[in-house]
Amino acid sequence: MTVSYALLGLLEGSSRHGYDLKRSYDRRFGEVKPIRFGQIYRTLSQLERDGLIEVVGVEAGSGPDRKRYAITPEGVTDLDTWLGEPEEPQPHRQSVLFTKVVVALLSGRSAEHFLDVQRAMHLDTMKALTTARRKAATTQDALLADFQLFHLEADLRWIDHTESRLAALAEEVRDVPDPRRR
Amino acid sequence: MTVRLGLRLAVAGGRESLLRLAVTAIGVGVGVLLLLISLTGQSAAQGRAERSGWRSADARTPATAPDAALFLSVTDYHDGTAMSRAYVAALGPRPPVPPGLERLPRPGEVAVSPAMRRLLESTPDDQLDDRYPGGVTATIGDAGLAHPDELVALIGRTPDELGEVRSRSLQVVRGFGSPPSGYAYYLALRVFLLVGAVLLLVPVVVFVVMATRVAAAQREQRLAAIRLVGATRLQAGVVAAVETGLAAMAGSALGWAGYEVGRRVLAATVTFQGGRFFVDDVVVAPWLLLLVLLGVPVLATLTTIAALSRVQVGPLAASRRAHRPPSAWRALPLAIGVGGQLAAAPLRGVVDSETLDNLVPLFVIATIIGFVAIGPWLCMLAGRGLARVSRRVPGLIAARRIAGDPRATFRAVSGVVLAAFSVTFSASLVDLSEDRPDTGAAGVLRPGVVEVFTGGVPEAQVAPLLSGQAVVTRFEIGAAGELVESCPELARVVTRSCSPSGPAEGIRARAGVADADLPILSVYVLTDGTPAAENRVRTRAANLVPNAIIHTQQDRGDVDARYLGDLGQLVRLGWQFVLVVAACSLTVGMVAGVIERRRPFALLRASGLRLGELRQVVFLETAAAMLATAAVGVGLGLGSSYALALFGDMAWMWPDVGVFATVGIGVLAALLLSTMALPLLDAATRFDAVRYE
Amino acid sequence: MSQILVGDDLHKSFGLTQALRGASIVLDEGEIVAVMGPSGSGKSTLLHCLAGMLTPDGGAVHFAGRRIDELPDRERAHLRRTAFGFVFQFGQLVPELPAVENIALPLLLGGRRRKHALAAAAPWLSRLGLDGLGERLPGELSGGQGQRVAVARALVANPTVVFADEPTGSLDSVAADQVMELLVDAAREQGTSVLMATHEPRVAAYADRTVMVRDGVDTPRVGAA
Repeated sequence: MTVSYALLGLLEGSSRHGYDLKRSYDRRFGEVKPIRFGQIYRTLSQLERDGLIEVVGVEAGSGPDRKRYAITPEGVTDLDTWLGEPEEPQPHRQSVLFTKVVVALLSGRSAEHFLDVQRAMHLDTMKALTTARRKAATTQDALLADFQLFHLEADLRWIDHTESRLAALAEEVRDVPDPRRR
Repeated sequence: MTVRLGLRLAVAGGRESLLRLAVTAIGVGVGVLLLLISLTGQSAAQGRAERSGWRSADARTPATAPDAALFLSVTDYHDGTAMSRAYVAALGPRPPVPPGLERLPRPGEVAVSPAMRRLLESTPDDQLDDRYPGGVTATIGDAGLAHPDELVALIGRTPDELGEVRSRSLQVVRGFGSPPSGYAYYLALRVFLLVGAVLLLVPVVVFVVMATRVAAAQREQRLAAIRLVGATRLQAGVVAAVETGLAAMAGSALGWAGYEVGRRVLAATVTFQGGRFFVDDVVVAPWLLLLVLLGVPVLATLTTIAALSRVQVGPLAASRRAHRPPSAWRALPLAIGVGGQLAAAPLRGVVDSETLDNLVPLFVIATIIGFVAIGPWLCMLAGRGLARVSRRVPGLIAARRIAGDPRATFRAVSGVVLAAFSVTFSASLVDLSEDRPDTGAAGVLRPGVVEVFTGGVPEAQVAPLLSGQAVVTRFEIGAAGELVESCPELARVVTRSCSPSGPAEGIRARAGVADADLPILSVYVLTDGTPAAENRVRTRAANLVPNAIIHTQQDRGDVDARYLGDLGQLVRLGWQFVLVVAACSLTVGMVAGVIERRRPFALLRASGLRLGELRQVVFLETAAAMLATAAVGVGLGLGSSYALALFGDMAWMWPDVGVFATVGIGVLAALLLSTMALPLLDAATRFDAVRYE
Repeated sequence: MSQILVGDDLHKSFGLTQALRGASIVLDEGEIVAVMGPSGSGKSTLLHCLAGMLTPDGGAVHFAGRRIDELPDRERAHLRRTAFGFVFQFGQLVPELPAVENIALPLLLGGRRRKHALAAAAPWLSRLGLDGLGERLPGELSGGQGQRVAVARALVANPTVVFADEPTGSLDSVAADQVMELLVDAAREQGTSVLMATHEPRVAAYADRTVMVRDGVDTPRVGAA
């Protein structure tokens, strides 16, 4: 869905060819979420079916990339609404870390080792991202790197936090009664 | 280079640092002023003794001239004011001359003080002028007067005329300086003033130290930052010294100016023994002046440098300072002092007296030092007591703050408690009772009676006085002179029972009618009671018997009262002074405490403590500590003076209620004065006024 | 690369609290190292010991091959002035001096004449984006500006090591990034080593490597360096 709105946003400024759209998209959003030609045209068709864009011209030649698209008033309204709404915060990202800790404790292993290793990994990634960010040519690229850095930092804070509460967690995890032991 | 940095730091930094500079300067200035004023007492007493010492010249006075002179000095009165009447007869061409005169008055000449000259002009001759036979030819200069308004007359006589006077007071003098034995009274006064000055020294020093410590916390932070960047201890010390030194020198100059004004004010307002002091006497010796003007800034600078040992390196490390509770060693000086004082009297037989005489003052000083040493511990107790007693938040916070830094709390109140100590100490040694002592002399004279005590003269000499109404007492000269009087007659002039023996000693009284051949001791002349009539009698009596001591009831009572009143006044002046110093030091202590703790107070307010409650915290801190320590101070003062009296065989008495009232009022007044600092609280601890980095 | 600063088995107690229990750390020439750990882990104490501001109860600190933890105060002050630079979280600038004089302070204390010292300090103003703020007092600067003055002061004498203790602790993320960028860039330019204590991963990410300190000891590094 994000791709649809990205295309709508690109079309709001001016009408474009399919090929043109692909190039623009790649330039602006290619790093976040890369996309293939086929996906572009499928999305464009869907948008046309929903009445949010319309074909305003056709170049000579064959193939969908020769069509010229423009945004409709419904499309503008729809875009407006999307831009005005917040996104669901998605707190369940990386919950695999949480799962790993619980599983480690269940099996009697040391979760500390995992947390240490994970922390080291995160720090290394952050270091790489920071270097990349400092070399970034545009503010857009820098902010993208910042986005990732802040999230990694959040993970690291959780890792430290969990480490200090491991004992309590371990007790709880191991106290859950084994259904076979009735 | 570092000196320049120090100067920059002292004067740069905007309004706040200039304010700090000003407060320190004012504090040092006030301290210097108070110290100098307290030291003027010495030279004032000395000056007076020197100027008036010639009245008590006698044969032992060191010679200042090749020839001698006959000299008789008499105390006289006029309308209740004491006067000095003296007769002199040169016994050679180069006799000694009293200060204030160029030459002795010749027979028939009279030298008078300016005030006496004015009095003579305004009084009818037969009441006063005739007492001084001869013409007024010279004026006695300031160098010979006890005070500017003193009434003095020096009458010139021939040696034969003066030689006729039969009196032990008639002396052959070769010099008119102060007698070598010292004018005893003034000597005692000087000692008293010296001890007083020393006692005052401690509060003043504490005051100066505290004024220097104003905003010490900020100074420490600044110095920590410099140390962090690599300043050595020496460099940091130089910076601190320059800062403080600058402010202190400015303060010293201020104090000097204030002293010049203050001493003139004192000279114009303080009266002692009937008159004010000469301005030139109310002064501090030049070397001492220099010592104080330079010494106090040096002291202030040294305290800052001494505090440097606590400065850590870097901002973080500064917060790790641990506050050790006062240790038990602090009690040692006090134990020595009190123990020594108590042991002194019993030890008198065992240890030789000169050693003891030197040790006892040291024990007193040890007691004072000991008191100052245990002060923080007392404050800690006060804090704990406060915590137990208080239910509401301000009391609890105040208790915590006292317990947290008892040394700082005691520093603030030390001035006042030392004042309490000093006052009770001196009050129980100096008899300040208002009761007129029973002189055991002749009973109270009836109104209108003029007593002429002649010391023994033939009737013929006083014949003109013996008209109708006069009563006489006679005595027999012998191994033990005996006084003969007619009691019913005497009852007409005195109110006591029969035995009016005058100031002379060794005379017993016997009732009866005396033989007209016996010499007359005293003549009691009845007048109609008007001052004019009394003065006429005085004048006549003085001309008949120059050495006679002439009294009316008014003078007699006044002498004693004035004596006590003057001493008492001086002591009271001393107390007021001490309490002023104490109040100043308390105020500075409070102000310094508020400035030092701006941030914690601002945070307290931000977290919900109301301004009124914060004021209560500051007030309670000081009040609790002060009351606890002042009570101990009073106790120690009484105890020390008791031990001293025991040792020195001096009279000791419970100070009367008035003294305790003075102490109490003084303490409260100091506390009230220090509440001047409280309005500062609002401005200083407003949250937005305290910036964070 | 030679080892410029070595802390070996350091112990330090404050009263009953033991802050360091045998922590060891090595700093190479030109390296930027972050010391991370929760509050109370001892990372600040470790920094203070390595900089010669605290004397450890046990262990040794070597700087450029010389043992410095037993030096007298005068020599340590000399080190702090010439070989070390400091950036703290707050409370390090002298409030009465304007920014440019704060920067010049190490030079002034070293005996350099005022004119020279100020001339040496002036370029740092533009280098750290503080143009026109040279005459402002620390109280008139924002948090980020103040920290940049501190960074300039730390680097003005061309030190061998800069010690930074939570240098961005009281700053927002944009100001923090600015300060770290400038610090790291300037340090690299001059070949200065940096040892910083921080609990923020984004700040530690500027370093070449991270050392974890927990309960007064350094823990061995897990995973790739």
